[in-house]
Amino acid sequence: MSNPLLEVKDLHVEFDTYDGTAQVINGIDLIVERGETVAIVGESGCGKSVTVKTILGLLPEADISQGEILYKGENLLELSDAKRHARRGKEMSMIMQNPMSAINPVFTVGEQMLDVLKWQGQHRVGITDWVRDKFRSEAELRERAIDMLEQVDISAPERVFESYPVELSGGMRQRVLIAIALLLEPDFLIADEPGTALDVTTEANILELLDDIVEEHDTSVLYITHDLGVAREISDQLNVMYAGEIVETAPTETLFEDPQHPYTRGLLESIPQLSRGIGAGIPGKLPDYTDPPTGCRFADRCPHAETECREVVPHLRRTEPEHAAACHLFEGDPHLDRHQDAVTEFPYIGPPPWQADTDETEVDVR
Amino acid sequence: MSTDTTGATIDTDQLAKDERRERIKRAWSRLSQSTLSLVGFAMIGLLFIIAIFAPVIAPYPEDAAGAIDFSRASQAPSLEHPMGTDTEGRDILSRVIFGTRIALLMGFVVLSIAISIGVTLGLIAGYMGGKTNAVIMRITDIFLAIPPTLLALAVIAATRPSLWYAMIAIAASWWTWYARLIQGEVLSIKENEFIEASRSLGAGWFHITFREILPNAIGPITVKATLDMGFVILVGAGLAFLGLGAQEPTADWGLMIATGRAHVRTYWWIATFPGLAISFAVLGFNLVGDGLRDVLDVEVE
Amino acid sequence: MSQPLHTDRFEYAPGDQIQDEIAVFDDKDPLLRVENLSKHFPIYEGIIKRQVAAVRAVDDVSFTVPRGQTFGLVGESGSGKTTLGRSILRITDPTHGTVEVDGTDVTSLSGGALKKQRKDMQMVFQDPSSSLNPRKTIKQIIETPMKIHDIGSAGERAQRVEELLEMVDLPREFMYKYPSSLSGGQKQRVGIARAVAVNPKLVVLDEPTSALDVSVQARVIEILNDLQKRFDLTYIFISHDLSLIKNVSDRIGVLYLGRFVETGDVDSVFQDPQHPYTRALLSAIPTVTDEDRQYKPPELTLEGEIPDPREKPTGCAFRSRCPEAFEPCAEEEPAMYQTDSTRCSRCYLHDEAYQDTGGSDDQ
Repeated sequence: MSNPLLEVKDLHVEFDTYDGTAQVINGIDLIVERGETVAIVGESGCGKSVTVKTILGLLPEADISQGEILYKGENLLELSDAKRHARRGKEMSMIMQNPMSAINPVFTVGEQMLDVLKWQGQHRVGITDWVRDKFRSEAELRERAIDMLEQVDISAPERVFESYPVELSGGMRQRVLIAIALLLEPDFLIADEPGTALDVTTEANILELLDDIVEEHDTSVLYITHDLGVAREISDQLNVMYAGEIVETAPTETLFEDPQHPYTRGLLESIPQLSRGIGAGIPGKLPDYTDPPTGCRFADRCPHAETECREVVPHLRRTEPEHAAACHLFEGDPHLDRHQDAVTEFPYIGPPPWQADTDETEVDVR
Repeated sequence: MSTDTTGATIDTDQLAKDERRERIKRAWSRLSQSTLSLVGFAMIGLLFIIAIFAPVIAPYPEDAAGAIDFSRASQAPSLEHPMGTDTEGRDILSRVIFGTRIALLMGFVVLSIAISIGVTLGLIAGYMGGKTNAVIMRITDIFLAIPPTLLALAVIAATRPSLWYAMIAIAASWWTWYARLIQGEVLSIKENEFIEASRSLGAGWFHITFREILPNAIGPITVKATLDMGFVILVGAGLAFLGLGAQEPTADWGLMIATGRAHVRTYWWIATFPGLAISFAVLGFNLVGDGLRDVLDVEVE
Repeated sequence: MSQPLHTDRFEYAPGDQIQDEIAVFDDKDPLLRVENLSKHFPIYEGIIKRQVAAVRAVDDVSFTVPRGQTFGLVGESGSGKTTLGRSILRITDPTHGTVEVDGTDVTSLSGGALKKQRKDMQMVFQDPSSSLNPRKTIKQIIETPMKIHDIGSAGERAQRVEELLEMVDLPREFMYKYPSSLSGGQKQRVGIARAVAVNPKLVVLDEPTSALDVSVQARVIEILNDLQKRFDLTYIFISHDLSLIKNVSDRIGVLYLGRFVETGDVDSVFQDPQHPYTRALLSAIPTVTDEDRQYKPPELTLEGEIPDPREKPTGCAFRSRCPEAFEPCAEEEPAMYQTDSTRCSRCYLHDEAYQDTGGSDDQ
């Protein structure tokens, strides 16, 4: 606990739009321990992609109004562009969502992999470096690249190394993307829905592969997805995100055993299941980021909301030793140090109706 | 199912009005964030006001029609003649003011012809594809390959130099740009599922091209037309300068520059002020065109 | 539900080989009857554009759907499910076969008769942002089919639009809005309102919720169910999401490279899938509850991906990825075997002649 690989503290991200300032990320806290896979689950527009892109520093137009991103104890937001650039790929890298557009179509897989090996992390490439490179043997780098392709279970790595992306299927490209992301053996990997654009059978294979490789290299992963089912299979710790805030966080198994936040429960209910029908869904839509509600951002869609919910922001509270939810239906000590003083004044409108009515929770255990 | 019909209609009319007002407000708020396009709008607005009220504004309206008075010839700018007079003693300010009418007329006539031909052909070519597309686009290419001035020369050689023939000559080459623009637009709009949707609803080609596709191409057409207004005025002035457009004594900016050309060293004001007027008009339309492009892009998302 | 969901090993019931899968569901008076439907896309080569081959996107597919029921079409990308849906509606013209909607042979129609027929068969598209014209108001969009088919006066149409908006649970205020100011779920509801505006009999739903969030999906499905009950609509529901298909369909057909590999009543197929491909699909679903995990057959990982339809394997199209493949699979494509009264599956493992050799543990 003491020395996490990545720690995001009270991150706020804003964008300027025609309709005013959009507060897209509103105070997010995340911890990724070494060797752990952490998932952020949320629906489109909840800010999960913005969060990870901010961590990587890929959003130049974003206004990071507040917060810290500590990577190995160092605040990334205070580093120069050159230093952040140097960390990308070597320290942290990302697997993009769409394998069809995330690889440059005019270079072979091999050329792109060699480029990563040669130039990644260098802020600028001098002419002398470039010329010297032309006379250097590529055999060793090539071997490393092909070795990596082999590790992602590509059966004919030499052939794939020479191929252009169009010659590869979607699943194969996703493997190549994973191979490129892992080439420099980063300690921290961000995966942005790497299976979503693929078929189920292919997605299952990719998830399994990712799991194995991450284990082998002892990489920490921040995995973002809209699919709770996928998150359940891949992650150790799960964060549910809604409208730019984390509304519930817990170890994955704990969260599925006892989902607490009404949004998490609504999401779980909405997923079509084999064993029973489709739930009711969640009525309404995401709040307007340029004019967010003053209290709980989920209140307008919440079946249990009371007037207090619209007035007072429900900060995350520890409902169980390792489980925190941002909801007035629960009592508990503040989960975050910065809310130490605030929570005591919070209204309590619980206990949650699903606990009061019946002992059996709707989303079952085991 | 619903309430009584009359009540509903009044109500929905109100809804429609509210929505429209809301949209205009949003478009205006986007536009007003760009100072330059506001300046452009002010410039064009000024041009239109001048054109409409020319007889009232111009100090010597009869000069614009060609009244000659050699006793006042070639006077430098003064309080009486703020832009001076030309070699035939006509007030340049009055002629520049009336020139606005010719310039705007030129732009509107040329672009109306060019857009109606170009858009229709572009829509048909893009939607039908195949051989129809090939034939229309090759014809377009042929017209594109002829320089507009040369085409104008040919038209005028076959007829006689006049403002109207000049406009027809410019339009005859200008439509090609719209045909190409629209054909390209159609090809990308066609890929949207709503085209397939209307086909599955039973819609014919006329409905699909003019009701479904065309409204989506209005944005680029408007932007291009606004930018083109300036260029058409420029080309028209060029033709008049060469003696292929408006003829004396019409108050045309290009023609005025042509007559002042010989005296630039001695009577600089004769050619300079019409020249500035042309620059003013072209700049105004360009600024508005750029502003519109931003607004319309956002609207489409 | 009385018997166990899955046995640990594959156990295939011996079945009668049938020529024509339609025989299984020979409904008395089906609303939709698809017989031997094929859609082949020609492949041209050379400067003179000689046709050298054809991609069989949909190949000899037959099924019937009774009035008021939902037929689920499942398959991965490239399986031909979308092409099948579009061929039924004649958005693309099928190469062979017939489609009968309520007794009318749609494939033989053309011109005015086809336009008239289109009123009875509508489609809801996958991507609601692309399937609504961004330059038209919601009212204009929903009104379009009525205008095309010349139904009602302007006032009647406006009234009808209001009714339709109410049916899909959207406020009247939306009439004069443009699609860009609606959320994805709202846009899709407009798409649904447009599809049912002229009282169709058959609606093809092409992945109607795959572009939506799950929290929104549920409501859209509910609306579709309501409309179906209310107007006795017949649906073809196309999806890659098996959990969803399970919940919305009465019968399903599993497509692989343009061919049905398994088809039958939804409950029996999901409780005890017969074809190895169906089993593999089911076992690949990520689940959120433990009950669902029981539903999944024993882990079955497929090698590779669905092949390029231009390079279809000989014999059984699935054999290149099938963990159960054995000798006869390479030689000739298996016929459909009726495994019980409710379904059939295209696999040699059901053939009595191979009962002893089939179902070996590996390869």
